[in-house]
Amino acid sequence: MRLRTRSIALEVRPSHKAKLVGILVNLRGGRSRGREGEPGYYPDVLARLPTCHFLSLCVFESADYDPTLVIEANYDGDSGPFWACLQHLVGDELREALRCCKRPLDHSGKLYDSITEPGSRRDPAPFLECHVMRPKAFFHGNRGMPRDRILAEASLANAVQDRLGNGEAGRDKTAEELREGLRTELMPKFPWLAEKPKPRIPLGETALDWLKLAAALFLFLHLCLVPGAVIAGLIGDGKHALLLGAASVAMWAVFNKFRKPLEGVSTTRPGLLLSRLVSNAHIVLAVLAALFLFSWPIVAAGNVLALDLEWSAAWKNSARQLGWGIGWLMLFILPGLLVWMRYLERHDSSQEAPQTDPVMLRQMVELEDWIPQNHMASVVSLRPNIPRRLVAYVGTLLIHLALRAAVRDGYLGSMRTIHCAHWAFINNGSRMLFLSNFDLSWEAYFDDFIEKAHEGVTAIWGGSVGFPPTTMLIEDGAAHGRAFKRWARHSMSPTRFWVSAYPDLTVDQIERNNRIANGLCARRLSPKAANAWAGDL
Amino acid sequence: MGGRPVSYPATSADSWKLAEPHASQAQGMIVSGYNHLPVSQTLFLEFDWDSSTSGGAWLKALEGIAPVTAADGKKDPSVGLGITATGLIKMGVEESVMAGFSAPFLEGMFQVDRMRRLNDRVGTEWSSCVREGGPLWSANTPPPQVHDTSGLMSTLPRRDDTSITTPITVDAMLILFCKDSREGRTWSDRVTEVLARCGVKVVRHRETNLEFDKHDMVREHFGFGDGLSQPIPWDPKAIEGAGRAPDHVNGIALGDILLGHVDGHHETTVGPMVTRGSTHLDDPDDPDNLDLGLNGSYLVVRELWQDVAGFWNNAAEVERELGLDSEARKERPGTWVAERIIGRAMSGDVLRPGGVADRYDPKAPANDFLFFDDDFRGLGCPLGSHMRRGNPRDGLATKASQKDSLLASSNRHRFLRRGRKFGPRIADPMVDDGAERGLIFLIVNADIERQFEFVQQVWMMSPSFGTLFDETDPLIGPGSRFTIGAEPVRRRADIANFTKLAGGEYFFLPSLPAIKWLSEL
Repeated sequence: MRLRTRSIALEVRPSHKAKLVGILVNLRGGRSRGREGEPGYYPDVLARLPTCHFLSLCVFESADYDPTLVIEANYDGDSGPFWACLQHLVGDELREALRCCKRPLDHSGKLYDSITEPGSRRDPAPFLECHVMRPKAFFHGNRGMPRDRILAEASLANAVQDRLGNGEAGRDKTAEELREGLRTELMPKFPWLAEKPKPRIPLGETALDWLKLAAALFLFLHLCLVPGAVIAGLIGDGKHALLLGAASVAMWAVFNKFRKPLEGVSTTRPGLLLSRLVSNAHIVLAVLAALFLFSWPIVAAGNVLALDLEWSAAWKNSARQLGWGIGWLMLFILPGLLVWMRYLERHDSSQEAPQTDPVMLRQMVELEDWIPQNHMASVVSLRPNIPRRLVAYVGTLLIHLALRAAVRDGYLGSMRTIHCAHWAFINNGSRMLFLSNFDLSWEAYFDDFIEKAHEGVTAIWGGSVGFPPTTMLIEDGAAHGRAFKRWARHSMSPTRFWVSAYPDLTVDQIERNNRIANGLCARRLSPKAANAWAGDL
Repeated sequence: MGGRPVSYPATSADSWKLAEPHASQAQGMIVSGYNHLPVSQTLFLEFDWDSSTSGGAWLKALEGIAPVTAADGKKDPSVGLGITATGLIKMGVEESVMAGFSAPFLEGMFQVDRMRRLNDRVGTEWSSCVREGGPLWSANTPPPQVHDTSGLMSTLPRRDDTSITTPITVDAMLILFCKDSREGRTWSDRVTEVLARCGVKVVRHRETNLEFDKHDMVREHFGFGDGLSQPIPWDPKAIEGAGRAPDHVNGIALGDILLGHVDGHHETTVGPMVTRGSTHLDDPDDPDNLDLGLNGSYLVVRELWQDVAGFWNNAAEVERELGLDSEARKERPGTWVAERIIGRAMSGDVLRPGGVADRYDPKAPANDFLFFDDDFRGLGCPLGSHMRRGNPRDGLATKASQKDSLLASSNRHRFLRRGRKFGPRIADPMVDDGAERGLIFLIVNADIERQFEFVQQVWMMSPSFGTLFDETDPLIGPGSRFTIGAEPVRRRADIANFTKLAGGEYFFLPSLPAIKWLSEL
């Protein structure tokens, strides 16, 4: 069952903000079974939302826009049943919350009216489904783990620990004898141990992930071949070589001049992007070769259709065009795009010390750090110029596809503390919403970003207003630790209602429990594998 | 680790020196543990002057009898000084200047959300890591006044107390380092007298010491080597003889312990700015303003009481439950368990599967060891041992490709430890003599949230450290289960808490020019 991450953003009538906050806060009342003051353990909510991993509701407030209600849901399986269950659980409260929101100006206005008019009993779920957004990028730390499996494996891990006690009973056994003994003992309570565990990421899904990434890259790079191919059709090779030579020398000279970070911006060794490209030259060459091979039939067909060439001539002509296209791509277009970005980076302002409203900050810190997990909600405005927006949209998409294809074990860089996180664009793409359910404290989460994953974070957030100064898209930026944390805090709002289906479990522990369960499901393990398995106990 | 050390540092944790002008501006206790001055008198001060006394008068008086020592060479005796945020306010530092200090310093250690993070108090109850009845002293910082016109604060779920007061209020702390106890007491009596004339009361006094053993090792009351692992600050501009790169295993940015320098997150920590009204402060980078924090730092102080007999009897009991025979090993009952709680052998060497780590210097335990290659599963040094939680080095990596990244990341949370113990040495560790003893835990760091609070919350007190589940630090945690790596299967024990917090606060360690500026208030 696939984990889905969705969010809904609705503008709130400013006059009704306090009432809305009250409604969301009251969702906690009477439901939480946590320690006094804790934001929540919600057995009742979780029982009635059987597919929910994480659910949050918050109201964003800023001087730049009217309050915005954001509902975030991470759940297994189809959307319809989830929203229906949510409506069944808190339908009246949701209707009241919608009454605090602005009437949508689009086609859902009438639906809104029918749900919110006085005395209405109409279900709010259809309206919510109307406004559900698919994230532009998302990340799941325990990919392929449905909620039921996480809880069942946690229960199994606890039972294993109970059986093992202080460990002395297992001293005189081999790891495999110990495992077999536990398997036999626990089988009656956990009959699913007799079944072969389902693969967490099916082969078809893996293939689709790589295919999507390849298609997106191909589309982007193929479009970049067009200028070179067009020029090849207009002038001869000699002149073309002179033109490309002159243009690329000029472009590389400009690039070389501006590629280094400005005074006070550099945080790590400069030239990270270039050094990555050089150290991965074999991958770059393979990508170019694939680009050529896949583009060739397309361009040849274009030659046949547009220039009325024979196929044999079309193959030859298109090979020449593609060669020039790749030349322009590598020698002029890519450095040109980077020079353009460097120009913007050198002129973009960044906010060193954005002021966070003390009341908001106090609320956020009071709601954090009660359990091993935390939640954060952030909205930032994107820089208004078109290239920056394009980089944000395209970059977010490519990063998302790359993460889905390449990250199978939950590690973002060398950090593995994110359960479910996602980025979505709201207000016609002018603002970026970020919602995350993570382990440990907010400070530790951001220290992880700064120390272990600042390049990816810089690539995604670099186009946001006030973000710390960046260099070459992925350098510096989030590596400015204090500035990045201040900027992030400034963009956040307190999470008024937040539910976690497994509040005591970290991403690492879920993985550990999964390894324990998989080991116990196996009929037999080699001594080496059994020892490795016992190391997790 | 093979037969060679991982690195050969150009400077070591004991030998690094600040270059001028920083050396003559920073306090000596930042760069030195004053091993040549093994006895110290720690005076906790409360400002109780009348309106006719100026805020800086006591510092002027102190200059005559106990001038704060700079970091420019060995001096006998020496003095260290820390002032709390409430102390600075009482001295008359303006609100606009105070705003330049970091949030944790301004809010104090016992701000309600910080207490929850540090695991000192959750909800309405003090944790079992705190002495019964709560801590005895703090700055008693009033809770931050947030002007809430929106009414949103009242929607928060918390219903516990938002302000904690301790019986003793501490506004500043003075440490007098000297060679012997008698000299120290005479000196502290004179200082007490002089301060009293300025309206400054000594509200708590602890004689602390290092007490080197025959192997030149400092041992805390439980009997283990203390302060063995210190980071090595690096900054080619401000440290004499700094190599071309920080030490691979223990290197940290100078800005992580000294304000006004580049820190581990690539930023120069700027302290509170004051206008140029004084000739004592110089900031060549900013001719109009003066950085009050430059070459200063923050000092975290926690007074920890140790129940030595309780600790050893508990360790012996756990050992019996685990079926281990201490008599056969001819060592004190409980030693095997106690060593695993700490992560080091009694000799100070880090535990390794089947023994301890090799020494490269026969006189001192190695400090450039790592975990990933040599003890990945914690079969020697348990994954949740005090030492491993305090500085996991590369031990949180789960793949070889993550080792360097995780080591660098760990080092960004390290701090200098300057703690000393107080109270008499116990005659028989298995028999409680009723004496009060413990540790004045002192750490120097520039970013309290990223360093001390991170280590305390995310490593020490986290029930989810690494892949461990539902266990906290076995030495300073509230008492929990403790996993000891073994083959084929781990051992597990229930460890109680025998280290209690009796007071604590965050202090500003001003530079000498900043002390001059403050003395003119």
